[in-house]
Amino acid sequence: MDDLIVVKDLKKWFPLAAGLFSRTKRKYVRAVDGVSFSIREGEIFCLVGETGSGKTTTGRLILRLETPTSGEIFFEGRNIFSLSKRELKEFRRKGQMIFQDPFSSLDPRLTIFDNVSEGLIIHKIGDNREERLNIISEALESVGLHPPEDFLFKYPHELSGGQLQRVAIVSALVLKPKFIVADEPVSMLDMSTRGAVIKVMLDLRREMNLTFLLITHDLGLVKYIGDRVAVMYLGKIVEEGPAEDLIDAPCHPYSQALISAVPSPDPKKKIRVMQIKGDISMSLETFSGCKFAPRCMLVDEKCVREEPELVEVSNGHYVACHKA
Amino acid sequence: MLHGDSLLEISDLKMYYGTERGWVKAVDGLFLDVHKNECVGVVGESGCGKSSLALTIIRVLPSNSKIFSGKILFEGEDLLNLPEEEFRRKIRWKKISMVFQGAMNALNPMITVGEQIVETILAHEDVTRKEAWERAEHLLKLVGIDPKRAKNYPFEFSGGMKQRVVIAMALALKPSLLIADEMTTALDVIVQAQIVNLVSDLRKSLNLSSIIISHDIPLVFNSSHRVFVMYAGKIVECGPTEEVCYTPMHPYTFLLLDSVPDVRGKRRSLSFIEGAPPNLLNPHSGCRFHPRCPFAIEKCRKEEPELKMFSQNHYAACHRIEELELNRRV
Repeated sequence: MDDLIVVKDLKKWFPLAAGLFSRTKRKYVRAVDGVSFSIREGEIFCLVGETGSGKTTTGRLILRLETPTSGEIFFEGRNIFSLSKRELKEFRRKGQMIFQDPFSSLDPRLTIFDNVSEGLIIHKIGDNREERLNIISEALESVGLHPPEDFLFKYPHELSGGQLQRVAIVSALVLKPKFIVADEPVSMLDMSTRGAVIKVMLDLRREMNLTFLLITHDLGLVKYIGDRVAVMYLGKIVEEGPAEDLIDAPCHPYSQALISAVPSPDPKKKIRVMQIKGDISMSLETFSGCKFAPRCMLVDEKCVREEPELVEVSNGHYVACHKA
Repeated sequence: MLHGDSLLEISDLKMYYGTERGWVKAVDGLFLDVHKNECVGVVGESGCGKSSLALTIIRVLPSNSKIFSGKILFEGEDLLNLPEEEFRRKIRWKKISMVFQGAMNALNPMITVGEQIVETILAHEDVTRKEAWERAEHLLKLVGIDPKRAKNYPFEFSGGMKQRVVIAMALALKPSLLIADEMTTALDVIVQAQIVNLVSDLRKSLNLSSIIISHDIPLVFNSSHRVFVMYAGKIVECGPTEEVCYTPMHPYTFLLLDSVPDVRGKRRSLSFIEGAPPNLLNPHSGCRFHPRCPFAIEKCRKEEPELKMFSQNHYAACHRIEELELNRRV
């Protein structure tokens, strides 16, 4: 499989508001702090991590919804930050995003048809209303919202969360994208309806060879549908590998703690929380060593001094830890 | 469902919300019991009446609500017969306290956390300020917060720490039943695990009983002795957690469990339940789950099933329990 997206040493630092007479050096939140990875065509690449680990910012950067502080992103071999105006518009069509909250990502004053039509009109797909109606009906059908006539002229508030999230997928889908960033696409939905949205994603991948970047904190989901996964901690990738491998046998102490804390529906498999100190906010100060060091139970002098690099531990499985 | 050591027994509880279009039957003929020192889990999807149930027990319902029938026996006394003032003085927070959904954001930002706990104690008990303050410090220690931080304001705490403060407040008057409604929903998974373990340890050391209410099925199945599955205002199945997990009787429980990925299980396809829960304004006749149930027969459409005991303490409300063989993929 070819790489569809290549990310190289991507950084996004958000400046903190400085006081008017502040003489101290400007401070930054290092939301994304030097991440590199690639996404192959047709795969589901997952980004996991706690709140504030930079996974959403990374997703937005890849679709050029943010400008990076430094680093490069290549889509189909082209650097997305040096596209011409026409190329950029084409890129905007090929890369789509599904947001976490379907209740706020659709315009409540437009019908489903009008909501989805907007993208079609912008990208000049379908010559007239009739044609757009056909395209959208077909897409609604393909995500399991049938008969489409029942949905086309409804308003978002008349639909359930699971149905709305499928409409959100439809608005991305009708533009015939190659790549979709799905940011927590099911975390607002009930357990019993999550599967329906996930199934649509998997079907689309099979039929259209779509590529997904799935941003989630649901590690169970990653295990079930992910191809590869990267674990982020404070703007860095601390571990990356095949999804099932990594979740079954994590190597980085942070991934271990994270996965050990996820409850399993099987009451016999109790959560045994790995010892870990404090929470993510503790590590906001910048220092030279491993960012996880202040919370790590295995920490030693080297960890504080030297930042570990991602090293391959087994086939395609990389870990950034001096102790792994 | 009578037990000698029951602390709380709810039977046939009906609590509806009055709207312009009619009564919304949020809790509709519900049974639930909690034994002493037991942790009971209540699971269900959004809008199935879980939170309404909690609010009914602790009686903080909005003005458009009405209790139509039922009993809430707490230590043998029917709470529904208590006048409001007596309930406030004797029961709420003293006997039954609650950690609300998003409670950590309800802390007063202008008052130190210690002071907020002291306020709670002084409002209910005749103790001196000094004694109350000492108790507040002790409570903070109990939930794993350095007592020195009692003089800090809420913004100086992280989300998990604030949730600990809220738990300390809930324990301030030494209740015997703690209701936790979506206690950890906004927290990260590591912090969630720490809070869940904390509550479980406290339950044991303080001889508490608890009701854990959540839509997070793995969380509930991992922390409760018995579990109650709610659907559209009713209990469709209840029993010892392991039994419900391995041998679910009700098709809803079965399908719900099947739609939850298990991070420690084998990789498999995810299933889901077609359709959506019924509108509680005008629920259809028969079993509330029948439009979504792949096993529904004519009887399910007409007749409402009652909770039947299947084995020791394991109940389900389904007409087809005896015929169905629901094999869990574990």
